[in-house]
Amino acid sequence: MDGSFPLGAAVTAALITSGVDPWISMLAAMIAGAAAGAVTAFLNVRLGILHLLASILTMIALYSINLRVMGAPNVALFSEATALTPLEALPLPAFQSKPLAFLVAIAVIAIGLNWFLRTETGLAMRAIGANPRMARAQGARVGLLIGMGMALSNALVALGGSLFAQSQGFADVTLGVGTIVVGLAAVIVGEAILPPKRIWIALLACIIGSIIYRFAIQLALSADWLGLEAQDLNLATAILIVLAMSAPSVRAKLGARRRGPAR
Amino acid sequence: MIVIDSLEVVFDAGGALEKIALKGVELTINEGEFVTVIGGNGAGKSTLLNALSGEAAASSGRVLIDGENVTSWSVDRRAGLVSRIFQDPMAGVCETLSIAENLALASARGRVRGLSLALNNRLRTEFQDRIAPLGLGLEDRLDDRIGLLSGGQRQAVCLVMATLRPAKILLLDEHTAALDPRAAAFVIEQTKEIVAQTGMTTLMVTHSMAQALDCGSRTIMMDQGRVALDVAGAQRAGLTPSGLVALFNQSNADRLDDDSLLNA
Repeated sequence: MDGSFPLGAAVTAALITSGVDPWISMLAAMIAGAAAGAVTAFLNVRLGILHLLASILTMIALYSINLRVMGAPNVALFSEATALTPLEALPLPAFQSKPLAFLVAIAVIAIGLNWFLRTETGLAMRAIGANPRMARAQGARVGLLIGMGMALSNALVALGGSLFAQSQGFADVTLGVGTIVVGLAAVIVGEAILPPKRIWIALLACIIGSIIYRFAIQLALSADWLGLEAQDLNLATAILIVLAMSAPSVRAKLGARRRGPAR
Repeated sequence: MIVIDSLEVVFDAGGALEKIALKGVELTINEGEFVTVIGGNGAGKSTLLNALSGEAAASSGRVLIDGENVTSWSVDRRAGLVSRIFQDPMAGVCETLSIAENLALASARGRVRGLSLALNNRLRTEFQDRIAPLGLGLEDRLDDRIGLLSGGQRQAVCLVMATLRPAKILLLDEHTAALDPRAAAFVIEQTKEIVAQTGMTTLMVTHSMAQALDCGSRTIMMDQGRVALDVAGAQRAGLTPSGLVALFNQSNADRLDDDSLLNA
């Protein structure tokens, strides 16, 4: 993720600056992300490298690749026509039109995912996440589906990077730092607020979680009485995730104490 | 028909912990037979099951299902031929998915999965019809998470999942061992009923001799990676656990005699 996000930005920036249509650049960014995801899955499934390590390896490899793709640590897109340029024709200021456009994009992707995850293939993919042995016994091709899932998710991350580059007007090789943690935080916050009983609720929880996370961090950083500054962003994120992830076990312990000692 | 032909399974071959789990197993299971398997710890019962499902790779020998040599097939490739229930009620289901979703996974077992929706009204009706005979009222709870069910309820749902689509053999791996006595008795009753109804060829591993003789039409006893005893028909009818042990000791003594003759 930390690699695919800037990869999407890098591919988009490199292609747009060399005159390729922005929509085709976005497609290329997604394909590049999918390829990166497939590489991670290959390292994990075929070569037996631990999943976490496999993704870290892909991530550091992508750092070099992203530099190669852009030919420089950062590329400016300010003067280029992007997929977002047509928005300027709307009678809305950019700070309204861009979020609206992104809202539409997110809605389209969420609807697509909500459909896909309920198909036979999507269900098998979810089963692999929950119980790979059982999924295999039901005939799910575990290796292939892990590859597909990784490709799909990284293609979406790359699309995110691509849109980020186009909306902010630049691509930078360090864009991705912390993407995975932010993503994790968004999922955790979302699931805490909206327990996912169905897929569309889970998707909605992710979206709401990511927005709330941004608000929460922004609030924390701008609250003068806290004394936090921009450089404290990552620390605040880490603490937030620790709090969210430890909440269930802490709550269980407190509950057990209140009910008295165990038998 | 299932044919197991001089099957050997060796774990950690050549390593310090080398273990020969199966030493040339010969076994033919006829269509529609319900075979129960007993044996002590490490006798090779579970390895036999795993060799049939594809989880344990054969070092030598062959596994044939309806004449097809499946020895080198992976677990997922065999899934269309083999359905199985695990000992651990957690292992056979996806806890975070609903009852209906688990059943939908099983309904696509051994089939290429496409992009059509995994659940539809036709399937839901079918699931309700199949799950209602369990008498657990689960037909009205299809959208509940399967993790909410008790171990016995889960194993019962697993039975429905395993028999939802045809398979050449149903493998039951001590599927009542983790349950309390009442739930175990319930699951065994359901097992007998469903196996009789579907007529599926079945191999059930159990640690209870009484259960092994009570269920099915044939009982084999494993010992030290071999089939030590194989009783069916008239010989098996009316056999008690102690009678079975006596038979085992008898055949063991015979084999020792053979060995001592060979060595003489």
